[in-house]
Order: sequence, then C-alpha cells, then structure tokens
Amino acid sequence: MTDRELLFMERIGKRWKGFDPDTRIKAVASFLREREDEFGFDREDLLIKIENGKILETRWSLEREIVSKWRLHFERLKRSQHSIDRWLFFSIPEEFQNLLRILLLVPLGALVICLLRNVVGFPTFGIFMPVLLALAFRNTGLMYGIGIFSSVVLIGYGARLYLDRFRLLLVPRLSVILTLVIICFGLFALIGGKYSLKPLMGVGLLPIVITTMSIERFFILIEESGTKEALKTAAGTLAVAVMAFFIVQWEPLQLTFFIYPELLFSVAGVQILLGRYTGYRLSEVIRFRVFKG
Amino acid sequence: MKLQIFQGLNDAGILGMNRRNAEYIMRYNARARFPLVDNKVLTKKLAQRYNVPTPEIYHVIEHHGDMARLDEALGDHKEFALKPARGSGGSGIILIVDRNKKGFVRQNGSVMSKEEFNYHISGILSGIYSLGGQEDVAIVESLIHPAPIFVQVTLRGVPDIRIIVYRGFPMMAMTRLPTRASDGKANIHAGAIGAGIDIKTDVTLTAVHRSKVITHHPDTGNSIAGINIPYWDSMLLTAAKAYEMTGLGYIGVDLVIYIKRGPLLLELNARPGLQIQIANNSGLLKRLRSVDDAFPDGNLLTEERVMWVKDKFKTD
Repeated sequence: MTDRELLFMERIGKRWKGFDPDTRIKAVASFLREREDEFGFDREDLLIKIENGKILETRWSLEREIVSKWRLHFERLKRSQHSIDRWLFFSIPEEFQNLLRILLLVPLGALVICLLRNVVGFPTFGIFMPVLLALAFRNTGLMYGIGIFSSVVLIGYGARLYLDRFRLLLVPRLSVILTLVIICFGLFALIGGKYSLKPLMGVGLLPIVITTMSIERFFILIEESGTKEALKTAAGTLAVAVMAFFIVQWEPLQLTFFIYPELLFSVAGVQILLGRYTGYRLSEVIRFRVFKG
Repeated sequence: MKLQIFQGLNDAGILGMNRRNAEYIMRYNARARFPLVDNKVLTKKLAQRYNVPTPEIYHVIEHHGDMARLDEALGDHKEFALKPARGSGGSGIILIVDRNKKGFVRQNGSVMSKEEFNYHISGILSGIYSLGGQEDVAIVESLIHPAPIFVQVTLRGVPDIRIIVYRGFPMMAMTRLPTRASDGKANIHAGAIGAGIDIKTDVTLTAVHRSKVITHHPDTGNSIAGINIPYWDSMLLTAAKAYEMTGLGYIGVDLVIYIKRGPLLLELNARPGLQIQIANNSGLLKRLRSVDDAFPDGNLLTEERVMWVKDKFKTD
C-alpha cells in the first residue's frame, strides 16, 4: 500500500505532497457537482448542457502526463547519495528525451530481427531495413505507413521497369529512383496537407535511401528469382517491420529502458546467444519437408 | 535442446543454414581467401597453376577503354561467353553464338546491337551483377559446348555439375539442368532442376525442382534418374584438388563437361547452397561428421581422399 501512496504526488508551491487518488478524485467530483449550474454538469455526467443557445466552438484538450511520474522518480534519484544516479537520461532536455526513448529500443528491434531471421527464417530486404521502417511508421501510423511504403515501392518498380530500356549506369539509375521517391513523398505530403491527413505529411521521415534500395532489390529479385519470391520477401520485410513497430511503440518498455538503460547489455547478451544458435530454422522444416518422417 | 518439430531434419542429418554458416563456412573458410573464389579471373589463374582446365579467356575488360580492343581480342572467334568476374547465380552472363554486321547473336536467337552489348558491359563494370555491388570486371571467354550427356533433360543453356567439398573430401554432388523457367541458367533459385549424383557410381538420382522432388524434366518430359556421367573420377579429383588450390574447407565446385576437352572448372563457391540435399534425398551433416570422425586432423593426398569417399558413400 505504501507504494501506491507514493505513486501519486502533487506539487503545491515548492513542496511535493502525496495524496490518495481515490479521495482526491471524489473531491474534484464534488467540487464540480457543487458548480453544476455553472459548468453544465448533470446527473448523466454530461460535460456541457445548453438551452436556447448555440455552441460556436468547443475545444478539448486531454493529456496523459507521464512525465510527472518520471519526475517523481527523478526527484528521488536526485536526492540519492550515489553519484551514478545523477547520470540519468532525465537530465537531458526533454525535446531530446523522446528521441532517446525510441533509440534505446532499436537494439530490441534488432534482436527481434535476429530471432525472425535466424530462428524462424523470415526473408527480408536488407538486414536492418525492417527496424528503420518501423521507426518511420511511428510518424505515419502503421496502416498509413504500410500503405505509403507499398505504393512508393510499386510506383518505383514501375519506373524502374521503364528506366530499364534507357540503359542507365548503376549510380545515376539509383539517383533517378531516389528522385522519384522524393517526388512521391512530396506528393503524399501535399495531398496530406490538402485533406489534413497528418500521417501523409509525416511521410518525409520514411527512410529515403532505404526505400530506394528496396525498389532496386525488389526489381532484381523479380528478375532473378521470380515475382513469387520477391513478394514473399516484401511480405517478410513488412511483417518484421510491424513486429518491430509494436515493440518500439510499447510505452512500458520505453520507460523501462529509459530508466534502466543498462538493460541494453542484457539485450546484447541475448544477441550474442542467438549468434551461437546453430540449430535449424523453422522455415527449414518446410524447405526440407521431404525428409519428414 | 531437441525440439520435436526439428526431429525429422535431425534424424535425416540435414545441414541447416545456421549450422552451415557458423560451423562450416566461418570455421573453415578464411575471409582472406574469399576473393580467390568470388573473382573468376583469380580462380582461373589459380586453376592454371594447378593444371586444372577452365574455359579459355579471350579478353578481360577492366575499364570502359578495354571495350575498344574486344574485336581485336576475339580475332576469329565467332562465339563466346560474356561474364561478370564477381557475378553470382549466373546473373549477368550473356552467351553469344555468332557475330555479324548487325551485332551479336545470342543463344536464344535474339540479336544484340553493338550498343546494347556495350551497355551490358558497362553494367557489369559498374557492379550491377557483382556480389557486394562493388565495381567489377567483365570476362570474355570461350563458349562452352556441353557434351550431349544431358541433352534429353536440358532445355537450352549449359548444364553443370556441382560438388560440395569438405576439407578436401567430395561430399555430395548434383547436376543442375536448365529449364524453360530458368531461362537457360543452371541456377536452382532461378528455376533450374538439381539432380543428385551418386558419388560412388556416377549415376543421377532423384531431382529437385522448386523445392519439390521430381523424376522427369518438366519441359522435355524425360526421366532424369539413371544417367551415367562420364569422366566422373577425374571430376572428383578436380573437386578434391580445389581444397589445395584455395585452402577453403567448405566449398562448392562447379564443373562442366566440354564436348572437346572433357571436364572444365567453371567456378568455385565459398557459400554453396543447401538444396543439394533435397536433390540427393540425403542429409549433408551426417557425411560431414563421418569425415571428422574418420580424420580428426588428416593429411591425406588428393587421390586418397577421393578413394576414401568412393568407398564410404553410397546415396541411399
């Protein structure tokens, strides 16, 4: 019970004071109820009630404040006697903290890739591309991200198919595709701006070079190993990216790694263990199915 | 940790990708020696030193400027093969059967203009087909006319023979037969057939096509099993010798039987694929381990190794 009491604190003036959330919520509720007429509260707990009038504009703002919970932890650590406790990610400006929260989870994403490639046997374009995709999906949202990425790769593939007849050298050819990718992203951003679709505007953060290289790899894979193989690899890449996305987005995990970054050493440890895995991949059960039983 | 799901693979002694990489390629193939097999120009030079016959080189194009001297280098040769030195899986290879005023006639009958041909070469030089995407060199060499052993079970292209060699012991062999789907390439991933070869008796066994076991060629309809392969002992010896040549402990040796000259070494591969196990209906791991059991250190001569293998293995 003591833990619970400590979890909730408020600051009055310069002092921090603990409070019991249950009684506090009741107090707020009764405070509001007393001013029922003023605020338009009624028994069904409607926030606004109005008669003979017109609501011209309503603005809402609801925010979940996690920082305060961190701050609590931070305050405690600040008073700690151990000098190592002063070396905390909380001590850097908040604008950089968010980035770090994500970065600290990237190794975990890489770990997932190790698992999926070496133990399950997923085919992916490139090694770390799924993680980079997952990071990009944070700005666009998962569905939009997948949609945008897939359509840019398809458009790029079409262009690549067309460019093939001009016989361009490797580097200029990749540059043309890169240019096209940027044009696509620009168009998406414009469309997003027109229809106020935020995810489409966030498209600029998709990894440009990675997208370009996927187009080229996708094209070569279709030429060399057939459409089926290429689509399988593309699906594998997206599946791994989605899994990495959910890991990187998972807030409790973000906070845990942010407060205890030394966990990264254990991530590295598991990665080393996986590096020594010489057993079969799950996909090999299918690949060598003729040998079963 | 023995998982039930892997029991079948384990019992069959299948070599998986992870074990191949960690326990064989990383342990026995020193990085520094990879260029010897990844670069066909170096492989050919090495083969020459060990008296292993390879297709004759007409010209090596290192820079765009070298293209101009191609006509001179080709001399009277009307037919040739153009390859990237560092290519993999047969990509970037063009087979030319005739030259005329219009340009180069490819094996599939289409004509390549001089311009198209030069574009392809500059593609090779810029590294489109090379393993790591680095800049590359183009090789112009003699066109292979394969001995008509596999004529019944090949559609276009040149069938080749792949032998996996472990610590100098030929372990498993297959022949790769081009199909319509593979567009004449002897590359399993591109859709070619892989047919196992009994190392002891030189006869073809079952075959694999797109991960499925087959008995007949999908295009020609002829039976694949039961073909006797000539020069077998000499090919096993060449394969075993590749160990002395390269110092690499786990390699794939690719050979082709030339109608005039017998077996030629086409190329070596430091990361040979695992499909060969399906083609032979047999696991590689148990064979590799039998070598380790019999010769923990082993300093046998090339011939002795081949003798031991022929004595030991018979594909079931």
